[in-house]
Amino acid sequence: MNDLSSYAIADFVPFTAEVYFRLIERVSETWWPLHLLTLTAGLAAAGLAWSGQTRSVGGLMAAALAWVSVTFLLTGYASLNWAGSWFGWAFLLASALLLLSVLTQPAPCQMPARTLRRRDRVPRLAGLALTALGVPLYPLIAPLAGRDWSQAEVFGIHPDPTAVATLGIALLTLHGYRLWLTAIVPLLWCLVSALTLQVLQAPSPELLYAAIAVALLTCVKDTPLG
Amino acid sequence: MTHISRRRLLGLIAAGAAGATLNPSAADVAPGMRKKPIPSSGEGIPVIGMGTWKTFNVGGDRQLRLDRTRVLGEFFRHGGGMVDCSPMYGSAGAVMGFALAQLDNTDGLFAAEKVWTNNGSDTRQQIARLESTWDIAPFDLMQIHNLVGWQAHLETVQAMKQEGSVRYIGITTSHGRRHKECERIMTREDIDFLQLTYSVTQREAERRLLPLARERGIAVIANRPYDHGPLIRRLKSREKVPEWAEQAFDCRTWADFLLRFIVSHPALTCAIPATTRVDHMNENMRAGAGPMPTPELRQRMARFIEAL
Ligand SMILES: NC(=O)c1ccc[n+]([C@@H]2O[C@H](COP(=O)([O-])OP(=O)(O)OC[C@H]3O[C@@H](n4cnc5c(N)ncnc54)[C@H](OP(=O)(O)O)[C@@H]3O)[C@@H](O)[C@H]2O)c1
Repeated sequence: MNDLSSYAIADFVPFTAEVYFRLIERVSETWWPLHLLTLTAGLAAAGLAWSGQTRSVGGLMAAALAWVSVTFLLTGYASLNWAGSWFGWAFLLASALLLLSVLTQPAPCQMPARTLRRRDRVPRLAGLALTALGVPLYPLIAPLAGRDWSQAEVFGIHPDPTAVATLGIALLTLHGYRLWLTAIVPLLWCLVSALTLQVLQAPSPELLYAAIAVALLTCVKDTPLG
Repeated sequence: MTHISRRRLLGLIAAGAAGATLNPSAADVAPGMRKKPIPSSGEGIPVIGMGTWKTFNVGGDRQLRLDRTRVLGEFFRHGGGMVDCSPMYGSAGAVMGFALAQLDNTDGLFAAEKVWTNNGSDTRQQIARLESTWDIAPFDLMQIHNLVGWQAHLETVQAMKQEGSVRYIGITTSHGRRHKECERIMTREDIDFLQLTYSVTQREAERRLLPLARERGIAVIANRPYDHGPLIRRLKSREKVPEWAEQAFDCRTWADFLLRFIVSHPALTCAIPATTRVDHMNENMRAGAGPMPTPELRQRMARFIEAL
């Protein structure tokens, strides 16, 4: 009658599903209707990234990461999880790394256009898919999974869609070690969050695992490690 | 243990009308919660306490804090004693402080906390922080959580016990981990309590630790009495409590069956089930008030569960 395999992970999730989803809901209530602005900013970032305007994208995404760090992770989540503030600081670090990476990234026009298009096709499609998941699609997950709209997770307000969209935008705009530097914190968060949802027996950890797989494979293809 | 009264008073005022419903009446309480003595002092504590892992970690959510206050109110209404918490449990200590401040009756509280830090020089600071979150001083029991940095912490809490800054000291483990090390500590060190996992399905401790605890005069707290929940949930959803158990010791619910199995072991002092629900708290506390199974019946109970 025991499920020993779940003990190790379960030990690191010190709250119930009810408490976690109520935190999502309460943060949403606190900041509504900022969601409309963050969603618009996310869509704008996707458009800018697609058309190669890396610097403005960097500013928008760094702001979203920093905002989620302070308003969700450091303020709310940290009271539920002793490791919560580490994730808050990690999101702030990710915000700084993203900004630094886009500011120091060489301009794409330094490469011949056809080489660029061929080389970039896979990361661009993967990036677009992850940004679509993180920005317009993520809020639909809660209602589709039978939870209330008030528990919908939104880019720029909640960490999961923000991390997924950051991976998408990073794949659209960055290469090489800059891509890895920017992707590392969102990848780790997606993993932590997927494991948390799994322990809480909540829906959709699969989506996060899929996002991790897509991002990792694309990063490795773009710049094989070692 | 004494509450710091100013904050308690402010809490009561702030609770206002809500306070009235948070403080349950004395009606419908099973008479006679059993107590067992702490071997090192002879002080009796109720055989059913409560845990707070996950269940009391609700952060700043006021609605959920009030819900948990009702659960704690039910605990005291039935004569509950030990409340077990840890710095590892997020906001559980702060929520406990909030709930205690709302309740009129917290008589009998036996506040058990833990030291949980790798830093051996941080023991006193961590305990001071816990006292301020619970608004309690001194704690009745200070345990070293999962033996983390135990040598340094034990030295400090032993000194604190001498000074009267904690009343009892103990160590904890769970899931059958590190029993060898517990055994060494129990043999060589002066501790009052051992907390470990013990339930009808987790009986590893019967081999060495429970006999040793009796021999050394160490009180034993059983954590995870329901194997963190699935055990009682599955039994409730699939099985009826066997008739022979009802006839033999008035065992009416699965909580009676599982908790009485635990606390009827002669080495066990109390079990600490955790819950978010008033009805479950009610059920759990009633288990501490009825007749207990004999050693022969305990064997039958274990065989019955094994056969499922
Ligand atoms: N190393 C350590 O120091 C250590 C390790 C583990 C545990 N502990 C302590 O031991 C305590 C107990 O262990 P635990 O919380 O892991 O597990 P547990 O008490 O075995 O099980 C808790 C679960 O049982 C459910 N439950 C409680 N009463 C019930 C009832 N009457 N009917 C149906 N379901 C019921 C609760 O759900 P509901 O909310 O729905 O009632 C909860 O999910 C902890 O809270 C903690 O304080 C200490």
